[in-house]
Amino acid sequence: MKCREVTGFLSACLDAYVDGELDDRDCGELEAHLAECESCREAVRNQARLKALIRERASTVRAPEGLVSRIQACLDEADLEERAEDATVLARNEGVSSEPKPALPPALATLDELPLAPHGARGSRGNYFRDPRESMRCGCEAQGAWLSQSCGSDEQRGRTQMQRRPKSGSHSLASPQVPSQKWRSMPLFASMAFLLVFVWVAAGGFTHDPLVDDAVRKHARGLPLEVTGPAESLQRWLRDKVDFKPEVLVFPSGLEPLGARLSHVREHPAVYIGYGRPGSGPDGERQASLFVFCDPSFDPTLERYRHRHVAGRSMVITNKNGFNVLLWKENEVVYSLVSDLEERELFELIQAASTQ
Amino acid sequence: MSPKNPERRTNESRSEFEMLALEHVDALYSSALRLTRNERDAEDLVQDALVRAYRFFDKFERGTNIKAWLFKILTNTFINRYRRKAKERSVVEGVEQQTVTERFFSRDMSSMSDDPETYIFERLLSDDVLRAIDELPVDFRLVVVLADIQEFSYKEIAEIVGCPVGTVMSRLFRGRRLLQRRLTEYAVEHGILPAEAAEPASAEGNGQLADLAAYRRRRGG
Repeated sequence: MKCREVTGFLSACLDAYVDGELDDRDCGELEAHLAECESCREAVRNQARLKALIRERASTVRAPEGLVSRIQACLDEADLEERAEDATVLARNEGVSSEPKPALPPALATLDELPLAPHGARGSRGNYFRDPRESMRCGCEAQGAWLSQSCGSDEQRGRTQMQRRPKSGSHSLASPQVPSQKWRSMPLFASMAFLLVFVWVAAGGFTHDPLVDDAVRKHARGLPLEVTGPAESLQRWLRDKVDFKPEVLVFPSGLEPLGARLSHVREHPAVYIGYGRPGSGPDGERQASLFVFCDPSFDPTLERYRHRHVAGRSMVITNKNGFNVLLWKENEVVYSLVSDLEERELFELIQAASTQ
Repeated sequence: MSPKNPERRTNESRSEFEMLALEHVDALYSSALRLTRNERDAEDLVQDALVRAYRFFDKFERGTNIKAWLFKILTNTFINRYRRKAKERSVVEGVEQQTVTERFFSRDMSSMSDDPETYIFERLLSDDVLRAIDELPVDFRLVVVLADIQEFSYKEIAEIVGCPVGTVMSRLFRGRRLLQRRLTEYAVEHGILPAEAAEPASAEGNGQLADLAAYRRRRGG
């Protein structure tokens, strides 16, 4: 029994009717027709049954055990990051202002006379504090652009930047809690201290790079691995997990991949690969973390970064909280390697590294 | 931004988020499973989506539909991370051709079964139904999931997927017809329906899928 009248209707009308989406007027018209048309009534019945079938068979699926607690663990992670961010912001707001300042007043131009921070000391992680006089001289040279981080130029190759905040003495951050325009009324010493910190910030002492900060934080925490195994199996697992193609770095010796997981660097979905000493097993100490993510806006060639040519690539080398960080880009994919290792060993490893 | 007590603020919004969002995990997971078609990815997708939702929680307008908001984030996360765009597109095109020529009232389903009260497809196993849904091209699958499994309105679906209501209706229509076709094929395979049932009906009448708005204009309403 074919319904000729309904070809005048839109076929979609019946679907919409069953979905409860027809307005009153169309509904009324359709129901008037249905009252007289068995075949359309049948179609409506079938449509309703199809819907019910789909709903019944597909919606009884329950989330697997432990998904909720895994989600809560991720939320914990997000909370920690949020708090760390807030703390950084707080410290920054109460400490040094980051607006560009007018040129250095002549009276304070000769920074050699300033008292010095811990100098030349080699930190336990193979990260040595640079002689702060160097950083101040650099800052001084770049008077018109205090925060251009000129200390990050290639001239400084071989020296890491002083990232660790000085903990004692005249270089505490306690003094410079005054807005810049009041410096004239401050005693000379206090204003010098303020300047010192200022220059220290200019030298990259307060690494403002949120990508680096986030990667370092996650390395220090040692993210739980979702999958363990050799590089080939990790590369396979990673396939289709993200929108870009991450390459698992393989080191011939010194470091081996312990496992991987999906993570974020800031808001970018990222792949995380943890490395440890060969033979240390999946629970072994995390010696290095490789983050791979997509960030078209990240520009590694910026002058504010310190660069080094390694393995045919220009890499950014920086240091944060005692960890060495290498950053490089392949097309739009950013690789960030955070490590406990000393710079020299890291470079040797990278030189010899290959991809899966 | 200089929050007075960052830790407490985080704790409050965290509990609020858990209270509002976690009750939808099952729904999110079951939809994620249809989208990604494997359990591991579905879990990851739900996890990623909820973390993103948490990060953007201050942008959520309290009192509005949180389920729709969560599903929007799930859909975006899915599209950004898991969808293989190129492959799906070609499948959709091929399939559209067939659907348009198939007449809406192609067959009277109950006349095919011995018992006119039984809806023929109810005799199919859940596996077959799920498989048929999973075989739909992703654009159709998404709207079918949102409409028929999660029971969102056309308007909500349009917001979740980010397309006009007309497109939602069209995709739903096509998706359901495809599904019906696939279920018919399974029913024939299992001997529930005779082989003729799987033949496409001859194109009769108006094969065009017109839209409700155009119909109303013609009607003069």
